Amino acid sequence: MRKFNWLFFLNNKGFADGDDKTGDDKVTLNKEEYEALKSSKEKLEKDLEDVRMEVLTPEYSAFLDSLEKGEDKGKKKEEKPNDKVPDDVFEKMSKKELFEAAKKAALDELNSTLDKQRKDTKADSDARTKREIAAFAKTHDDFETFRPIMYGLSLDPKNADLPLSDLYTRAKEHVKKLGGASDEEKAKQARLKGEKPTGDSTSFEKVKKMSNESIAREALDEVIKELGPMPKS
Amino acid sequence: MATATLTEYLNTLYVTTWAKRRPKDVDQIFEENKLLKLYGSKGMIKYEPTNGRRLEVPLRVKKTTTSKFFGKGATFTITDFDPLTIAYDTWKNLGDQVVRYWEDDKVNSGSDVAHLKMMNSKLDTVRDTLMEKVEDSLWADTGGASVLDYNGLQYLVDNSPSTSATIHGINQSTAVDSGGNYYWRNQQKTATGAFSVYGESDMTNLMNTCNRWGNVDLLISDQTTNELGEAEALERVRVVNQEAVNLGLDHITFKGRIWIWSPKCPAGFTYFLDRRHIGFSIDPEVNMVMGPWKKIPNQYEDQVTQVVQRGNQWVDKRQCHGVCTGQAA
Repeated sequence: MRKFNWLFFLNNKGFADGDDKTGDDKVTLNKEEYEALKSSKEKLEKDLEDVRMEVLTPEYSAFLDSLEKGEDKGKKKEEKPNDKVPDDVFEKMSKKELFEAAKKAALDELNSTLDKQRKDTKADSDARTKREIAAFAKTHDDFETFRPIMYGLSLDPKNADLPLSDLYTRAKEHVKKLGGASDEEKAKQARLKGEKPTGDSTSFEKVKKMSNESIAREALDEVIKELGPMPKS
Repeated sequence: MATATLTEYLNTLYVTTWAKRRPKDVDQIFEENKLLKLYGSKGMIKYEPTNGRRLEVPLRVKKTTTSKFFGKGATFTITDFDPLTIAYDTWKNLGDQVVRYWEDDKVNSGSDVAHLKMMNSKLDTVRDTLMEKVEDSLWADTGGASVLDYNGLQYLVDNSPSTSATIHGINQSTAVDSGGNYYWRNQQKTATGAFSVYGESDMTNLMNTCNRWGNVDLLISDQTTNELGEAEALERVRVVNQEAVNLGLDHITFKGRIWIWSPKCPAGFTYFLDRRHIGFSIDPEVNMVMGPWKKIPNQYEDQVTQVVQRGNQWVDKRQCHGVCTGQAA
């Protein structure tokens, strides 16, 4: 490809050195062409200066000066980790490394956004739950009594979706169930009547009057009833 | 249902029998021990669960500083007041084991009577051994977390109360209340001379000193001292204590208080106790219970189980107790 180097060709030395002007890479300009190019260059330089003057107003210049002095540091709140990485670090990276770095930066930013959204959602949900519980407590005087049981029931995955009213009903049923003794328990309680704290489920008064031999015989009768006659081996 | 082997059958029989006779045996252990019987008579055998790491003894040693006589329109200083000082001690475990050898089981097999006889013999022995252990420990001069036994009476009512010793975590030589009084020392008096001459006056003096902080209602001596007291009392009108009569205790009285003797009491000592401030705590769930039968390793079909109890003796006030030492004819 033909190279077109303005500096080379505008360099007087280029002519004076008398380089080979017939080579494929070299272009020879006559005076008219040179003058045209020169005027074009001057026009471009003027346009550039106009644009600069239009952009760099005194106010904008003052703002840039203040940035240089570090007056605006406090406003830079959300500086990304990659913003601190100097450019030459990127320049030293291979394309693959650059891609990985970019991917990681993108994922980090996405995760942080998602985390923030999750936190916001959870805070909303917690506040809504608190409002619901407060409203429920206002309408149920014994709510605090059943609250621990309701909490226990709610931990069961089967009850995960139950509303407060259902949990409350189930907690009440649970307590009712605990209060009522089974037939076996009732029979045991009947036997316990008049027994001292040290006693077992048989009547203490009856046992106290018996000899140890009689107690052993009675125990053997119970075991025979349960397991049958005593085996020989 | 699978048929039980002889070993399994006997395991069940022993557990069932112990469950039936345990209340009676426990009562025998506590009733045959005079000291515990007298604690029980005043409601000082306490049943409480031992779930906590330590035995807590609440003491009422602090006093308010805001009480005063007042006139019209006077104001009271409002200050919060926590009257409780908690003394701590450790729960103690007492236990014994019952071993059954396979060979004995085999020898007795075929005879229910032989098995029952052996079982009763083993269980009676365990009960008697535990009874002796309880008696020994209740009278020991040791206690606290450094020993495994119950706190002994000699430890709780010290014959040298001003020396440095820690009872329920409180040092008796240094602990003072807000008035500068040594609230964690019991009373002690050394006999002035021969019992026949000084016995009554020494005991009266010590009892009065104890009664400044409580109400002594039980005296326990060694046999000799108690007999000396009885010999003196024979010359006067015999007075019996109704509570001791009801409990079936052979006793004498001193100023209307029960006075008994114990073979475990040190010679020449008489303990003056206020039973409202000394007692014994037991865990009702671990009160001479029999654990599961286990096979003894490396022995063919030999079995072992343990009978265990958890409790401790304590005081919640010490100034009202006393000990008279050096009594002799």
